[in-house]
Amino acid sequence: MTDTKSLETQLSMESGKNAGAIEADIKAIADVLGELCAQGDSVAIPGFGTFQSVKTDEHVHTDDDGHRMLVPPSITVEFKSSVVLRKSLN
Amino acid sequence: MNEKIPLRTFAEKVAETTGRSEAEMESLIRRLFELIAEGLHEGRKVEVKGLGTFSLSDNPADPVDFYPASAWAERVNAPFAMFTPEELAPDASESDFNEIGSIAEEESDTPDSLPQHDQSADSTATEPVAGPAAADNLTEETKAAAHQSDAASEVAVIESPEVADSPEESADDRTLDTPAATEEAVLSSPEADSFVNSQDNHDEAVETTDNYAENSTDDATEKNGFGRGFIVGLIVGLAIGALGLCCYVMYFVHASGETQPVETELVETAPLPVE
Repeated sequence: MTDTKSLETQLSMESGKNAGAIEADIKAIADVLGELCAQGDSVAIPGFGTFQSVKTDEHVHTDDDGHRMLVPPSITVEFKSSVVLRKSLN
Repeated sequence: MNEKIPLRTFAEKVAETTGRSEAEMESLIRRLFELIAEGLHEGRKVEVKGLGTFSLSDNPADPVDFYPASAWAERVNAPFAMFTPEELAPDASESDFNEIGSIAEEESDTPDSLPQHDQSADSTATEPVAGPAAADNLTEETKAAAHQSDAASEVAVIESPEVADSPEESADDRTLDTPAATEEAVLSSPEADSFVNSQDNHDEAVETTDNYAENSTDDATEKNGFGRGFIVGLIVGLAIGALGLCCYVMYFVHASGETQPVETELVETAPLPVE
């Protein structure tokens, strides 16, 4: 398991910045990525993949017990790996 | 909305947030995801705080699974965060859902229904096209008047704006009718209130129809302005043409009336020198 700390340490060593600045940058990357996906946009990272925003419409879900729930619309994010990453992993 | 953002644009937006240069943020983003890919190559899960976890899957077609962090997923779903799942009444029928659906369509299609209203506005705008029937009557009057005198044709041109005003009145009538009709359509589904808090939806729908009526009235007035100018131009053109024709006919008749006596005089006077 690679956690955020080891990523921050690696990036800090390579860039020469302190770990706090790298942590703030990674947080900004995650925030901007989330904002763009919330707007319905997709973000493509070359050589890695695409974060795709997927909107699910309002629908009725029936439980096993027969209870019906009105499920509101929602936005989720799906990650689709790039061809380069797929070939390198397979 | 529904755009595919390239890395450069993404880096620009991140740079705006952090205050760093775009090139610096672009290289950082590239390196961050390269490190994530390296971790996946080594068969490890990679967790990015505030974003989510990347892990390998058994599916060769899509070998990477992404599990977003809960806070990040909530931020992405922020536009719909105010909605919660609601249990439906057991006696709810399909027709009730259809009524809810029709209300939802009316509300969501309000921008789409604007073109329909534009069509009605177009029909008012085409009334000037039907109006040319009235305009033809006027032009006939103007033709008759032009044969009589120039002053009469000027009167016909001055009267033409009244004809052009009539489509405006009809457009107002139509735009006043449509909100009432849409209000009736929205208010005619009281059974839907048992499912959702549709009272707010009704209010919003009424507001949207009011806004829609204002917009369509503006459109209708704009198109009536075009029709009025067209009719005025048409009448002025016809009046000028009729005046020119009248002048030509008067000149021709007058000229022919003058030449005949001259010829007779010449015929009568011609023998005189011979004698």
